Amino acid sequence: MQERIRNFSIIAHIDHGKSTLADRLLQITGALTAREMREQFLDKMDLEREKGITIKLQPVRLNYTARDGKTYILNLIDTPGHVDFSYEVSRSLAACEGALLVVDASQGIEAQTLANVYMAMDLNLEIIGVVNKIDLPGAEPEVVKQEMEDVIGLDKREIIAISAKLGTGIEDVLEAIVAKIPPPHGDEGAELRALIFDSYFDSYKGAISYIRVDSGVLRKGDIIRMMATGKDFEVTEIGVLSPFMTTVESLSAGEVGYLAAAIKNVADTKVGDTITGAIRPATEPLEGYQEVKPVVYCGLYPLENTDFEKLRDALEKLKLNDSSLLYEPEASDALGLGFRCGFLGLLHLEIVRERLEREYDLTLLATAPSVIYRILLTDKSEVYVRNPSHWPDPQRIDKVMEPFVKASIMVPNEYVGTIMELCQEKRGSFINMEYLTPHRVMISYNLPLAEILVDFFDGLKSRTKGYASLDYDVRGYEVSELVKLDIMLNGETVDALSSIAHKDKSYYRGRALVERLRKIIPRQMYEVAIQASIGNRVIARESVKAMRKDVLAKCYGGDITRKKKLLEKQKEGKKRMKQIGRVEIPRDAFMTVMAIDSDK
Amino acid sequence: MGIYIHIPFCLHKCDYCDFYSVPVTNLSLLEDYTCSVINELKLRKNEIDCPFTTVYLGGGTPSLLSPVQIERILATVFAHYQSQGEPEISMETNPATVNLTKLQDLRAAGVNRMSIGVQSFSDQDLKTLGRIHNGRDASAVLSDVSKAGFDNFNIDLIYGLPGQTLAAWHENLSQAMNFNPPHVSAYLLQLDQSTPLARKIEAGILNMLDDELEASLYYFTLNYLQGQGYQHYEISNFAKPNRECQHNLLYWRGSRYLGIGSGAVSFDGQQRNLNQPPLDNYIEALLDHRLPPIKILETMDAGQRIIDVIIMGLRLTEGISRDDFQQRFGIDLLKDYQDIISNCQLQGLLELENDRMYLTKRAYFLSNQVLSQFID
Repeated sequence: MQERIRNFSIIAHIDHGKSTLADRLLQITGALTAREMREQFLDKMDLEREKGITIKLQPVRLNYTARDGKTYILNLIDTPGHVDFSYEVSRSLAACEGALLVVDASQGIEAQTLANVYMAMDLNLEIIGVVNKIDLPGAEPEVVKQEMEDVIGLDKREIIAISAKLGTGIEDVLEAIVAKIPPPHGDEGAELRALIFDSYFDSYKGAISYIRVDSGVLRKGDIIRMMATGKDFEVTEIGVLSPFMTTVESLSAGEVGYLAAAIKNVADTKVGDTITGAIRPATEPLEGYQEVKPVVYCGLYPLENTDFEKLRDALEKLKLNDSSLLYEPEASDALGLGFRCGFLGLLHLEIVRERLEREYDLTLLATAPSVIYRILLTDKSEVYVRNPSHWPDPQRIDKVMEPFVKASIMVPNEYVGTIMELCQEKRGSFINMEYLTPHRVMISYNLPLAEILVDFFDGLKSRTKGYASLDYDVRGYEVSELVKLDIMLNGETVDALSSIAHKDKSYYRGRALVERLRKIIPRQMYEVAIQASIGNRVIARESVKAMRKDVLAKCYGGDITRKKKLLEKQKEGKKRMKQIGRVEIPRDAFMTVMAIDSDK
Repeated sequence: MGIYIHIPFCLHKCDYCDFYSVPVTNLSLLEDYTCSVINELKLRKNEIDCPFTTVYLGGGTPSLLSPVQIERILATVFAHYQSQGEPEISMETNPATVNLTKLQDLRAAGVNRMSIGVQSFSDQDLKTLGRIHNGRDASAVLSDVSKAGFDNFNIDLIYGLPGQTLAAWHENLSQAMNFNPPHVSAYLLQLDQSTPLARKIEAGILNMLDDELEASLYYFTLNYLQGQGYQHYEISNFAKPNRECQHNLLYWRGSRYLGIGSGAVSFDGQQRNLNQPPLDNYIEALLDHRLPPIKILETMDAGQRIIDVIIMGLRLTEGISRDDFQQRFGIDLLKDYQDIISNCQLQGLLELENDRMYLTKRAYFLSNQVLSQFID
C-alpha cells in the first residue's frame, strides 16, 4: 500500500506560480470536473484569491496513473511562500518525503525560497527542481537551471521546465514525483502516531485536523489521545481531501487525511501535536514544531464595544489553525476593551484582521503595530513593552533595547548600491555580501525589526524593479535611542495613537503624523487641534477647521428618495468612525501611525 | 394634495444638470407628449380621493410647450380632478423661451405663478453654467412677467459658482430685487457627477469655492433677503408674507402628490413611484391609452414614514410639530428621538419651542448633520 503513496509539498516564492501548478495537477489527475474547476482552487481563503497570493494551499489527494501503468496516491501538503509564515514551512515539510522547488524562469531563486529549500534538505526531503513560466517573453530557463545547480546543488539536467499556465510539462512533474520521491515507510502494525499539521474550526463538526499518519492505523470510532494534553476523543469522521471531503473507514501509515472528533475546545487540537490511540498509546510523540513567537504586536478593538466577547470567540477559533497568533485582553482609554495581538509579520496581521472581519462579521480598529521593546529601568529591573502606551516614564528609563534582525537580501548585482542605501536609511549595519552566481548577490545587514516592518519590503521592490527578495531572522536585542511620541486631540492624549520612534527621526515623524491626521480626520462641528508631543514638549501642531457646510440645497418631490439615500450613506460613513471624546476619527487613522515613513 | 406635471424637454442641457431630459427634435414630439400627459391624467383620475390645491409644471423646460398645449393640459386637470379653493398653478420658465405675448397667453391659459430660471444676471456665470440665456434676456423676461399679469412669481438663483465673490453675489441679489419678486429661491451649486461642469472641475479648469466662502454667501443671502422683507421659510427658499410656494410646501410637509409625465414621481402616502424614462416608452403606452411603466422607488412602513416627514419637515424654518406627529402617527416625537434631539440641542443645531422643533440658523447650512441622525 505505502509503495503507491507519495507525500510532497511545493516550495515556491509568492507569484512564482504555485497555485496555477496546483490547478494543473488537479486537472490532469482528473480530481475535478471542468464544472468544478475554478482558478486558484486550493486557495482556501477568499482573501488569497482576491489578493492573488497564496498563503497556503489546502491539502489534496490526487490519484495518478503513471506511465508504468500503476495508480499512485499523491498527497500535496503545501508550504506557505511568504516570509511571515516561514515557521509553517517546517510543519508541512515534516509530513512529506519530497518537495517540488518551483522557480520562476524570469525571476530566478528568491531569498525566502532558498531558506525553505535548505530547511527541506535538512529534513532529508527529495527535491525536484521545476522551472515555471517558460512561456513568458523574459523567461531564461537555462540561466535559472544553472543558478539552481550553482546555489542549491541540483543537477540541472534533471530540472523540469514547465509552463503551468499553458499546461506544458505537467506530466513530467507527476512522473518525477512518482519516480524520485520515496514512498513513506511507517509500520502499520505499530502503535498509532499521526501528526496534526493543520486544523480549523467547523461549526458543525467541531475542530477538523489535517493529519499525516506516521505509523499504525486510524479508524472511525477509535478513541484517540492527544499526546500534548493527554485528552481522549472518539473519532467521528475520517476522510481524505480529493479535493472535496470524502469519508473513508481508515487511514494507515503513510496516508494523509482529515479527522473530526467532536472537539469543541479549540485548544485541544494543537498543530504539531501527535495523535495516538488511547487503548494502545505510543510512548514517544513525533517530533513537533518549534513554537514560534510573534514579533509584531498591535491592538485589535471592536468598533462596537459590545462586540468584545464576539472578538474573543473569533480569535479563539482563528488560533486553532494559526498557532502563531497570540492575544491577550487589554484596555485603552480611547478605544475601550480589546486585545493586544501578536503576529509573525505585517502580512500575517493584515490577514488575521481581514479574516476576523469577514469570517466573523466584526468591524475592527487596529492600532499601529509595534515590536517588543526591552527596557532596563533605573532601579535595575526590566520590562518588555508591546504597547507604546505602556512606555515607562522617561525618568525611570536607563536603557531601551529593540529587536534586531539579520536580513538576507538577494538581488541582481546592479542593485547592490541602492539596497545598501536603503539599509543605511533604515538604521542598518552591514554584515557581509556574497556572490551566489556572477550576477546574484546576497547582502546581509543587521537591522532594527521595527524598520523592516513598516515599508522596507516595498522599498526593496521599488528600488530593484521587483527583483530583490528578503528573508530575515530575529537575532536579539540591541540598545537604541528611542522615544515615545504621543498624539493629542484637543489637548487629550489618545493612547491608541502613541508610537515609538528613533530619537533622530522623532521630530520628522511627529510632524508627518499630525499632517497626516489633519488630512484624514474629517471636519467636525468644532475645530480639532492635533498635536504631537515627546514627553511634555509639543513638537508639532495642526488643526482641522470646524465644518462649515453639509447641506442638500434642493429637495423636492422627484428626488426625495435619492436625497434620503445620500443621508443614509452619510450615516453609514459615521459608523466607520470612532468617537474619542468629542472627536470622530476614521478607524483607519490608527494604522496610519505606522505608515508615516513611507511618505518620505 | 398636489399635482406635478413633468415636461422633460430641453433645448440644451445645462452643464450642471443631471436630471432626465431629452432634446426637442421636432414639434410633433411636443404634441405627442401633450396628448400623452392628457391621457395619463385621464387614466389616473381615480387615484386621488381628495381635491387638489396646487399644480406645478416643472422640467426640463415646460415653457417649450405652447400656451395652447399648456391650456389643454390644465383643462384636463380641471375637468377630471376636483379642486379646492383657487389652486396655485406654477410653471417653470427658461428666460430664453418666452416673451411678453407668450407670457400673456400662459397667464390666460390659467398659469398663475411663474418660476423663472434666471440663475444669475452675470453672463460669465451663465456661461459657466451652460445656460442658453444671458443676463439681458433674464431682465427682459422679468419685466414682462409683471406686465403679463403675474403678481406671483419666483426668481431662481444659483450661488457658489466657480470664481464667484461675495460682491458679485450681492450684485446678483440686488439686481433681482429690482423686479420686486414675491419669491426667491437661492440654491448652492451642487456638483453632480458626470455633468460637464463636474468634469471641468475635475480637470482643474474651474475650481469650486471653499466651504467657508460658500457658507458666507449663504448667510449673507439670509441676512440680505430678510432685510428686504423676505421670510426665510426653507433652507434655500425666501418669500414675501403669504407668497410661499404652496406646491413645494406640500413636499416639505409630507403630503401626497400625483406625478404626471415621463420621469415624474408620485407619492401615495406610502410608496414613491417613478414614471420610468425613456420618453418613447411613456409616449408609446399612453398614445395607446395604457399606463406607462413605473418603477417603485421606495415603499415605507410607518417608522420610515415618520423619518421621511422629519427629514422633509426640518428643511422648513417652522420645523415640525409635536402635536402633528402625535395626531398623524400617534408618537411622541420628543420621546422617541430623545437621544438624537438632546444631542443636537447640545451641539446648538436644534431648538425646541412650545410644541415645535426646528433647526437653528447655524444648522441650516449643516442640516445633513442633523437629518442623517434620524435616518435608520
